[in-house]
Amino acid sequence: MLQLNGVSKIYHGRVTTTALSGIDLAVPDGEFLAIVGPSGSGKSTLMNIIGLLDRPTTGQYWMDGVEVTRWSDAHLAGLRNRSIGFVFQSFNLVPTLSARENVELPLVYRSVAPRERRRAAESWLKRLGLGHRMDYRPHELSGGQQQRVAVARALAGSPKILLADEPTGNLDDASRRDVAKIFEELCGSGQTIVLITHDGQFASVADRRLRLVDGILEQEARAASHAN
Amino acid sequence: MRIDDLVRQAWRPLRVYKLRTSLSLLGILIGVAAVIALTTLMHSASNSVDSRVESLGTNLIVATMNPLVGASNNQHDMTLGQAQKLGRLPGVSDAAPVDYETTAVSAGSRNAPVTLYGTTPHLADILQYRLAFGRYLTAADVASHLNVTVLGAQTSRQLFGRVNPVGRQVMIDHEPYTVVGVFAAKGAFLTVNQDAIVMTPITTYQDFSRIASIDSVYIQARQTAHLSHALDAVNRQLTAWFGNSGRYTLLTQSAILSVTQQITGLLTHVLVGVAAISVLVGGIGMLNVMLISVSERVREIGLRKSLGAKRRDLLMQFLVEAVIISLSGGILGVGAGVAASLALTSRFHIGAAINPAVPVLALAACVVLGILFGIYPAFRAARMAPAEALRCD
Ligand SMILES: Nc1ncnc2c1ncn2[C@@H]1O[C@H](COP(=O)(O)OP(=O)(O)O)[C@@H](O)[C@H]1O
Ligand SMILES: [Mg+2]
Repeated sequence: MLQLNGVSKIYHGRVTTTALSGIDLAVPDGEFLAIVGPSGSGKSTLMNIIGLLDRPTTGQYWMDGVEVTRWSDAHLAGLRNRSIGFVFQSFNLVPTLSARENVELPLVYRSVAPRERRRAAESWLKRLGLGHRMDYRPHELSGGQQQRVAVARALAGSPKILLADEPTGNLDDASRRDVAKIFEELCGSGQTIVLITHDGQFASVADRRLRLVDGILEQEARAASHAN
Repeated sequence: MRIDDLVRQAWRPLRVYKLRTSLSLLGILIGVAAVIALTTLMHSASNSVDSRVESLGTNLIVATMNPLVGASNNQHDMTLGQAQKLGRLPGVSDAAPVDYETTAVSAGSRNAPVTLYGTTPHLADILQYRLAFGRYLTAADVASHLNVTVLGAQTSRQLFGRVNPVGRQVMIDHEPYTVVGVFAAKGAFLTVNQDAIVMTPITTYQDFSRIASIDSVYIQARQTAHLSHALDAVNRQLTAWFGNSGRYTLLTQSAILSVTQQITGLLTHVLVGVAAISVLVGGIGMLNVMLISVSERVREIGLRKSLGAKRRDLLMQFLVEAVIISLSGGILGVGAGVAASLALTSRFHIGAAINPAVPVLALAACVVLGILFGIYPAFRAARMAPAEALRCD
């Protein structure tokens, strides 16, 4: 269970930008939540805060009943390693490592023994249909394959929450459907997912949809009308 | 993070980006190779100089006439008779007048460049030349102004091959000489080849060069214990002849040794300083490459942080990367330096004296260098804010 209370994020750059304001959000375990919204509405900022990559300017973040906003960087890194699996729009695979080594990375930072983490990486890659591409380097894989490696990496550490920021943004239609199907299956197996996407069709497979507009979180219009 | 993983993560990009890695290696490699080669060369050269000077014997005194400067109040030159008289002073066992020029000697159509010594029989003794064939110069050769010569080993080989040339004729400065002996090979001393020589009687030399004066005299004291005694006697005698107007210089073996040691010591410092600067330049090159590498990998750094890498993990990863670069550069540099040392010392005909402490110190210095120049790029990588790093493209 994760919970945001009154979270805002203000960037003090050349100009001051309020990227998020007064976000209240609770994601129960096992929920598949989709957040949609136009570009620049603060989706990535929200994901960085949920993913413990950035700290809110105000507000609190509770994870399983523990307030983590003021934790040290090192503690947050450890928490991130255990609790969060990221999937990015641009895959973000380490170019010098093979698919398998990329998937092993979260376990490397958890000091898991090589043999054990290799087994975990291989089983995830096989599950995602990449059993025959484990020793390929990222540039030797298609976009869809790279994103599946990234999903395998996000899941290899058995995170509490899978956080995906427009995971289909750089993919063709077929790969997009693949990834959507994987997410649906994961949700079915009880994985908590927070998905940020432009893709209405993808969002429609989620349990719940929220819309972010100018840093303010609203019930998604269609979902809201549905509820009425 | 496990240590083996740390090394593996640091090692991988070095292997993948071979060109970049080799370029940043290269500066350090060259610097270390230069340090090793120069220290070894200087060390070997000064050993060789020392042993050569020492082989002249601890009881050698060299008296050299200085060139006339302006209107000196004493214009006298040393004569052959005076030179020989120095050999009969108390405490002195031998004295050989020496005058030399570089010229060529020929036999038939063959030609060889040589240093021509006009001297007396004693010089071969004092300079420790041994005979291969025939005989040394004799007092009779000198007394009779004979056109006879003893050849150095290399000169003999160049002119006559493997044949014993005793009794054959050679031409020196258009004059015919009869070969009476051949010295055994002696080896080169720095770049001075001691086997490309000919010795002729000083009297004959003076006849042809039309120079009646003696340039220098090699004097041997009877015993090392009597060296200062002999030196005093020689000095008194020379003062009596030439006054103390700076017409002559007296050098003893130990004085020569301390002068050469001062020179080689100074040269060593200068050259090692230059080489150390090149190591520093190599380190700065590596720093530059590391900084580029960090700024090209900002996203990767952000990603690793998102996966749970702590500051320390990234700091260590880039530090280990830098140390691997500098240490491999150092190891290759030691190899190249030792190879260059061996090549150069054999080129200059001196025994290679490689001090094992030098490579060990060089490698230790490389580790320090890697940490020193790696710390800043590594620190930059480690302190990046993960959200910022991931936004970057
Ligand atoms: N590091 C930053 N410094 C200043 N402004 C930022 C920074 N990151 C994001 N912003 C601003 O915050 C707003 C939200 O950005 P972002 O969360 O990336 O939106 P989205 O992902 O929905 O497109 C934008 O106006 C953006 O310009
Ligand atoms: Mg975004």
